[in-house]
Amino acid sequence: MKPFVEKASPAPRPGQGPSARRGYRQPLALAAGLAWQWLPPVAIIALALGLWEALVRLAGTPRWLLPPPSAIFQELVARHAMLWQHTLVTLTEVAAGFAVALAVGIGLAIAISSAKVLERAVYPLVVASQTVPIIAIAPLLLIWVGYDLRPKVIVVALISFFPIVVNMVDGLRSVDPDMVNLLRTLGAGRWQVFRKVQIPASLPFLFSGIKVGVAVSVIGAVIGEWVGASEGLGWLMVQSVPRFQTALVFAAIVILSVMGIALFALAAALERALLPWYYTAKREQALEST
Amino acid sequence: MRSADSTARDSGAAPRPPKLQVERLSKSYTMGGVHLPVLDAVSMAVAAGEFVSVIGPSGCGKSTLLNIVAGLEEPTQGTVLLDGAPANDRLGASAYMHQKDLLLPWRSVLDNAVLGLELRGVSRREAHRRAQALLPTFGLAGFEHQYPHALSGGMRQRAAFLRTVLAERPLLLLDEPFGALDALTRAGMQAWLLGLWQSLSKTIVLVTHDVDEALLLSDRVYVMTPRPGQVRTMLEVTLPRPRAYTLTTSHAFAQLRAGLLAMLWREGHEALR
Repeated sequence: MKPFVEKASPAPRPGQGPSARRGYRQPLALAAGLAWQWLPPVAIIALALGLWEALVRLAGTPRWLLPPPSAIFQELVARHAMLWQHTLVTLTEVAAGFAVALAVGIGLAIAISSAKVLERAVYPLVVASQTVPIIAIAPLLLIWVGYDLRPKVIVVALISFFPIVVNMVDGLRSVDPDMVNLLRTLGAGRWQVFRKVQIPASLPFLFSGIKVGVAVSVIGAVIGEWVGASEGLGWLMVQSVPRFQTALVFAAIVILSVMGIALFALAAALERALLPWYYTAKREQALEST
Repeated sequence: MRSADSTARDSGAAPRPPKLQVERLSKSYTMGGVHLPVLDAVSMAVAAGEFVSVIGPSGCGKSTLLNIVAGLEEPTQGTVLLDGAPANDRLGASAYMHQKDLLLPWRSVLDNAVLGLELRGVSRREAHRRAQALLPTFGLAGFEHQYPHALSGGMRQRAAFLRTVLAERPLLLLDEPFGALDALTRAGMQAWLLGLWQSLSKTIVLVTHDVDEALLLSDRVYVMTPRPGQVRTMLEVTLPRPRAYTLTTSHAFAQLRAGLLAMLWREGHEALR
């Protein structure tokens, strides 16, 4: 057997791939890339905050009406211990609720994609669950399951399982039927097709659902706390408004935003770490189209 | 394999049954109440170690024929025989290759290549050893740890072919394996397969609409009519082996080519009438 010699070039070693050739691994280029990525959002936020601070000071707006960013920052620093305590409560609700959403969401997606009967039976209910205003269900949950952590966990789960189910179902269905046929000719049974093709193919979709899900899960926790709670950032906001502690309300909002962004970033980082093939493929395509 | 065949013939023993035999195979679909015949009483036989092409206009049912032989579809009428016996449970008995490479994007070239072995329960280490041994032949040495998207179209198709060979089946069914490649890459792949096949000792059925490909690679060519597909004629490719790609410019090749094209065009005109 003669070796095939159309392209005799050796395989690129790590760090010498196409990305390296285009200068991505050089420190200067890396720094420039990072700056390009982070500068615009940082700049626009800084500009907005500066404008806010200046306008509030110039107009002499009272603090209870609209505190300047500096006052919110002072509040964050001065009451950090109390805020941290409530943050942990809300974070626990989000984490527990999202874990439930993930388990239920993946389970439902697999059920829906595995049999037409289940799809017809379950999918409409999944969609219907999102048409009922969560704010209407939350007080009922309070009556049904109590005043503790559980109703918040349920609200978080209810609000964030939906994008997980919908995306994962799309992912499980995204498999090329010819690919399934190929596996069958190689002797694969239904379970093997599911495990070796459908599940890996659905993971990028699942992560899309997770990213949307974590972002809205924080909203779920806050709604749960508004309706009835004794702690947590949502409860803190409800307590602070009638006392005109507006800076504290804003401090809670800042923390909730940071929490949402951090959870989203965590999901994105996990996706990159777990699906390297997906990211390199996307980057390669982006480079080809430039 | 062909030498074994000839010894059997020389010693006067009972002739070996053909590796693949298709008898009066018909297939029709019913779509929205409309009856659509795709194959009409197709019969053919492929001896062990033979390279046979099936050529015909698009839509003549040649891919359906291959799907039926592979066991992915059942015929409406007729039988498929493997080694002389009716093969009702034939899914997995032959290795099948599609026009699309169908490589799993999350698997390296090596892990894609061993998919068939893996599904049969061969240990990862042993599967990798068998694949590694074939990488140079398939022009993939040094690329085994790359993901498919990093490879060229030709390399991806060779990786898919490596996976097909590593299914370790005596019969390979190739459905327009180079159909999606550009003309130059396709010619290179044909020349490569020509050299490779003789050392593989496999029986190959190739479905194609490329006249040069069919003539260069095959021992015999079945010509199909437009839908519903029937075998119009069978052409023996009398070109001596071993063949080289340069054969495509020879006079003998040109004559065979003219004959085959005339046959195909006649089919085309009949369809238009």
